[in-house]
Order: sequence, then C-alpha cells, then structure tokens
Amino acid sequence: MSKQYLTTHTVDNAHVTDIFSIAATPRAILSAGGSSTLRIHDTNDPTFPISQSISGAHELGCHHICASRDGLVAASAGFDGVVKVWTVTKETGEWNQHAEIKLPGKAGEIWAIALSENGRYLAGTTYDGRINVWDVGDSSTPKIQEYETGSAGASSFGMCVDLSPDGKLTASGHQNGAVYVFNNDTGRMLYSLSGLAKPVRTVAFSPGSTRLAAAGDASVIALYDMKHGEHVGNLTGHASWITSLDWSNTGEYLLSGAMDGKAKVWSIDRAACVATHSETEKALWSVKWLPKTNRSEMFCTAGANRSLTLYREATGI
Amino acid sequence: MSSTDIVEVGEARATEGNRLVVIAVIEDILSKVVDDISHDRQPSIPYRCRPRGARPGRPSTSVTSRTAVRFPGNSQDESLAFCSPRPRGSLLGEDCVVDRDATHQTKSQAVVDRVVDDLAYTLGFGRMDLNIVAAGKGLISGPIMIQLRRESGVLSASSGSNGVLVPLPSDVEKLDLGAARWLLVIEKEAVYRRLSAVQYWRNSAAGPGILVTGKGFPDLVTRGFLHLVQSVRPQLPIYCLTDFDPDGVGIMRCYKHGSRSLDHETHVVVPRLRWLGFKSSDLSHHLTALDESRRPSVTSPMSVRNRTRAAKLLATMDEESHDWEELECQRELQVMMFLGVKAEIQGVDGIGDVGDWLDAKLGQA
Repeated sequence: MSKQYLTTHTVDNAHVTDIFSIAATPRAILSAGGSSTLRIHDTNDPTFPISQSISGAHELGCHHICASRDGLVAASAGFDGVVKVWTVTKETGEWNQHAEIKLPGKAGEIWAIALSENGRYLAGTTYDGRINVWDVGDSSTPKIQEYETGSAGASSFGMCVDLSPDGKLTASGHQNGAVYVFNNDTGRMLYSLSGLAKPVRTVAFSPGSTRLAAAGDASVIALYDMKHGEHVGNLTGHASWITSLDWSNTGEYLLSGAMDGKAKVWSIDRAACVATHSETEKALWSVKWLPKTNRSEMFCTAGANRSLTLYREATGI
Repeated sequence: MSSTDIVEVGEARATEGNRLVVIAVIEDILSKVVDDISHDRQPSIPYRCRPRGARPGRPSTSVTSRTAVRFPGNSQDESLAFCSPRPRGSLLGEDCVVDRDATHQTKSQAVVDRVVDDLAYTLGFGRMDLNIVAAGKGLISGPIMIQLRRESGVLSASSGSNGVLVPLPSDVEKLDLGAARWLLVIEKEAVYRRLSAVQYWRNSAAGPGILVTGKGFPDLVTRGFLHLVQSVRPQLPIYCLTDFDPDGVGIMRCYKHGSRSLDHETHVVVPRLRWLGFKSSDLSHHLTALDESRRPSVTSPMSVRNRTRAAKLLATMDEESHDWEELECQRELQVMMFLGVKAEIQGVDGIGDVGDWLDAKLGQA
C-alpha cells in the first residue's frame, strides 16, 4: 500500500534567498535562511500567513533553527557563530529573544543545534567536532556538558545533532561519516556508530528514543537501535545527498529531504519508501512534519527555491 | 584585420598628469623636511596607514594608526619609511622601479609592499602613479596584439603555447583585440596552461576569446591591464573562473572590486566582471548523477580555516546590496558553509574536459 500526500499550499518566496532550516511548533512554522530575518508562519490558518518577522536576527544569515516539542522555546544559529534562544508568549504567539550564546576563540563556532523536549537544554556542534550542551532555562546559559570526539586537531566537523525526547541521549553526525551517541546523565560517549562512510548531514531520534536515523552524502538512511547501538537497517532509494530527516509523531514514518529536491516518506515497519514528492529540482535543505493536531498528517519542505511547501496526507482512498 | 579593432590607448596622458602632481606633492614635502632640518626642528613626513580589511561603514580600528613619520623614529619601521628615497627617484627617471629592486635594500618583500602601499595611500594615488609597480606574474593568450611604448615592440599573445606575460598598462600604446568575443580570467595557472596549450581561445564553440590567469590572487599589473581592456572595449564580456571555495570567491571579488586595503588603487578594478563558476549549481549537477561510479569525486571537505575565511568574507559584504552578483556571492558562501565542501576547477576534468564545460557556460552567459 502506498501513501499519498497532496501539495496543500506553497508559500512562494518566503525568504529572499535559500531557506536553510525550518522548525515546527503546534501553531507555527519558523524558518531561517541566508538573509538576517527569521520568519514565522501561522499553521492554524489554511493560508499559512506570516505572523511575525524578526529582522536582523542574524547579521550574516542563519543556517539552523529548531524548536522544542512543546513549541515554547526556539533556538537559531547564525553564520557568524552566534546562537540565539527565543521564547514565545502563549497569548500572542510572539517570539522574543531570551538568551544568546557565542563560544570564544577560533574553531569553536557553533554549527548545528537541537533543543530538548521542553526547551530546557540546547545541544550544539562545533567546527572542531565537539558537542556542547547548555542549560538555556537559565538566562546565563551555563554549559553543562562538553563532549570531545577525538584528540585536538583530529576531530571532524560536527554537521548535525539531536537530543532524544527523553533527554537522556545526544547524537551527533560528522563530516568524516562518524555518528556518536552520548549519555547525558553520565557525560560519556555511549556509542560510536559506523555504517556511513561519508559526511553525515542529519541525525534524528525516534519519538520513543529507541531508534536513531542518520543520513548524508551516502544517500542512504541508516537506522540504529539505541538499546545496544546496533545498526538495524538501511533505507535506500535517494539518488542524491540527504540533507534532512524527521520522524512522524507516532514514529511510524520517517521523512527525508535531498539535494535533488526530492522528499520521501518511509514506512519504518516495512523499511520501504511509501511516497516521493518533488515540487522543485533545487536542493531541499530542511524537511519537517507538523505536530499532529486535529488535522490529517502534514509535512513541510524548504530549500534553495526559497519557498515553504506544505503537503497533506490524502484521505478517503 | 579590421582597423576598427585597433584601439589607441590614451592612458599615458592621464598618467603623465598624475605623475607631475605626485612629483609636486613629494617635492613640497621634501622642501618642508629641509626647512625643518635647517631650523633645528624635528622633520616629519605625513603618513597614513591603510584600512586593514574593516567592514564598509564601520570605523577601522587600526592597531598602530600613524599620521606622520618622524626621524629618528620610534621604531625601525618608522625610520625605514622616512629614509625611503625610491618614489621620487622613480618618478623623475624614465625607468620603472620594480618592487624586486627595492627588495634588495630591505630584504623583505612584505615590508616593501607595506611601505609603498602606505605611501601611495598617503598621497592619494595608485602605485602605478608613483611609477612603482610590483613584478607582474599574470599570463595572457589569445588573438591579441599589444604595441608597447618603451620598447617599440609588439607583443603577440597568440605566440607560444602559454601566451605572454601581461604587460604594464602604462606601457601599452595600442591594443589590437582582434576578433575576440570574450575574455576569461582563470584563477588556477594549471587550468590556464591546459586551455592555452590546446588553444581554447581559438577553438572555443563560443567563438574566439582571450585567456588570462593571475595565478591566484592577482597582482596590480594584471588587474590594471584588465581594467584597461574593459575601459577601451566596454562591450567585451569579461568572465572569471575560480574554484568553489572561499579563496575563489575572494579572488573573483578582488578582480571585480579591488581589495579593501588597496582601495586607493582605482584603476585596477573590473566592475563588469562576471563570475562564471565554479558554483554550487555546478556541484549539484554532479551530485545528482544517478550512477555512483560515474560521479567523480570533485569535492573535498572544508577545513576550519576555510569556514573561518568564508564567514569573514560574508562579514565584508553588504547584506542590503541590490547588486545581483553581490547577493549571489553571499548565497554561494552560505551554501558552501552549509554543505561543508569545496571543489576545484580541475575536478571538472573527471567528466571529460573543462573545455566542454566552458563551451556550455560561455554559450549560456
């Protein structure tokens, strides 16, 4: 059985240049790109209008944005190495800056970021391959963990990071193809996972924290079991570098986006692709499921064509 | 050969005028020095340090911001700068002083470069107006004939397999651009030599053209020559081919806009230069080749230095610019950082020949 998703809406020219990253909350899509502006689109309105623009958020542009699962905290990382933490006012849906993080010295710039379920913790990778975890609930944002992935000068650039929903694990993907999983309670590396020999551009924990998906230039999605750190499967079918992964709310499906503009939905049980869509031939930089509310399943894609494209699961087949 | 292709270069008159002004300014300064000495006052020469790559619109914070050079100076550099007699001598004589001559006196090219550039900046002229020019290293090949002033000779860039050295712009009396329909500036010397050896400038599907290489970051002679070509033949498209990496973007911008620390060199920019590639769209084309075995390894990971340099380049650009290519530059640097990869022009060879790729690109442009 195949799944079908319909393009339900496209926000054309959501940004003036590439959209590098999107985040989804129960009521909004946050998007970041090459300009200094962050944009928020209201997902409760079928036309997905802009509900807020934050000008000058990141002077050199923004490459990563993420949100907590509860939708109350967001974080963005700019090309200038600065990370900003944002909180939303529930009544108005307005986002305001809560904190700022910038690591001192060279090579320590923060690259990829991820927030914990309630937005209390932020994980970030660095140019020189480290992974830091900060307590952003505290406005002084103290660093509570710093993981090294190799000796000085030997670590590989940290390309992506994710925090497990239960908060216990941090996973990172690196330019040399390495995937690491750290135990946040003990502060130690739990697993060093192999299987992808090329840059790993995206890692994602499943909603139950039992599985980790990783992908990148190998064009294959590797699945790992988090109980024993075993490589339990591969999802093949993409023809280009995979840039983004996201699990559906139930963990039944995995969404992937690639540099050839194709987005795929995979059934985890069947280890098979059940849907492929490409509104564009240009690179997709970020794909995200929208948190399930009282509507059918939806996901959003964004990338080099500067638009936000929304897909809705077709029903009544 | 149509005579309309031959362009009389009137640059010398303007250069001569600037030269006389420079001589007058320097002689005024020296006259004041003599006067100071005869009255037992400490002699000084005005001296302005150039900006060191600060972002446009922001105040430069120079570590050592000097407004005058005194003797005896507070440092060896200051004494050295005061005693430098070369500019006036070179202006009065017929011969042009090449930087390497000056190097023998001080043993350090960097010191010479800094002092000469600061002097030019102080006086508000370019190096070539002082008749001091860094030794050129650029090469040119194509159906172009250059008549020189001093040697009463003619350079033929179509001779030899590697073309000829780019001449001093001020030495050029006549330029015969022949049937050239385009000019391509190539970052890498190796790529230039390969294209020159097969006479791509003659055989291109885009018609005859001119090949130039500055061998990495270009010197003032090469940039000045391209400026001259653009000014005498504004309709000739001038393209630039660089690696997909931060230095490649930096080199292209150096040709097009000049460098921040040499802003006072105005006759060396090529504003209409167009960046042909290598860009991320060229990269994407390779990455989506279905057969993995036929997908050449054109990319390599960006180093930390590459990333840092890319971020610094981004910081020098004007985000509010309405110049399409400026925005494209920013976008390319961002995509470069986002992907974490760089690529070399030679990588294109993996799919046959850079000439085929160029034919397609020049055809589109």
